Amino acid sequence: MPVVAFANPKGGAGKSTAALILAQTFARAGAGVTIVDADPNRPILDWRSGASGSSIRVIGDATESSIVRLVTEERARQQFVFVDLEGSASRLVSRAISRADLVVIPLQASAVDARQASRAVALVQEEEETLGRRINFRILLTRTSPLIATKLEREIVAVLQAAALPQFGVHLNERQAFKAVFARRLALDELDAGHVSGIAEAMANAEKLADELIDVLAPAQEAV
Amino acid sequence: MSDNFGFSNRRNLAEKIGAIAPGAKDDAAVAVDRIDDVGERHGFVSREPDAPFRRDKSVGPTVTLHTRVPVRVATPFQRFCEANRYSYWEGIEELMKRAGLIG
Repeated sequence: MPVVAFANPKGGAGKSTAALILAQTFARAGAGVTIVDADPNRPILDWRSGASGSSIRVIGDATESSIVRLVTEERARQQFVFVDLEGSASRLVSRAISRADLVVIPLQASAVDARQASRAVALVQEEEETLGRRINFRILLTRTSPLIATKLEREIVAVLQAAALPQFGVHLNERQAFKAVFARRLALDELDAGHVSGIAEAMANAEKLADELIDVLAPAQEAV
Repeated sequence: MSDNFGFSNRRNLAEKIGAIAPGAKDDAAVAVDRIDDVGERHGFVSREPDAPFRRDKSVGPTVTLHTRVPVRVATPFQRFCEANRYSYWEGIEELMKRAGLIG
């Protein structure tokens, strides 16, 4: 039932990667998951065209006029609906956010990503006022080093904390395996360990993030 | 594996997922145009092009007429069509209406 929108008007922030990796992790744990691929480049639809046995259902024809209906239909059908949004400030993004239980705002530790992410935060906050209900959101740092935080990453985390903006404690690390799922069109656990390094570490990272995500969602579900 | 501190009591991911069921949610109370107004204030505007306008060309079944026409007939007919912005078949239709041959 929960609808999770992945939004940042900046392209390349990690929206599609975060959506697909989390969806795979939930599907592997037995959940029914739909991803609405609203990115014009259709990365998730392209992934679905591969040989993966993952149960994830992908819908790729979202438009401004269809997004609300698609989300409403899928939430009645599936346990989780993820909406992978385009990397631009568009009406489709705005409408999808209005139907979300949680907005995940991925950003790489860069000033450009952070500035664009702040636009998504401002939009979420004003939509909350218009809707008269809480739209939970969390910033997710992506492509971070699993070993050491860069100076810029520490600065951005400090700025987010100072502004009291909620963020995931777990980051989505830079991992070859996360790229390989798109290149091979497979799930993390279907990758060939002989060709892709760090699969176990990538899965552990994904599971920690999925666990935190579902804890964030839990209070919203109880309130429904 | 259990421990003496209660950490292993934490529910695992599959258990947490099991608590979530599909279901509808009534959040249609706020009209989409109000959300669009909010979006536009933040620069989230429509990025989809308007559908190009297409004339309705459905005129029913058609046939092609080839005919050699004397210049004394063709020239005033072409001027008539040009002056009234008719295609040739529309010009013929108009003249037949005026002659009372069609309704």
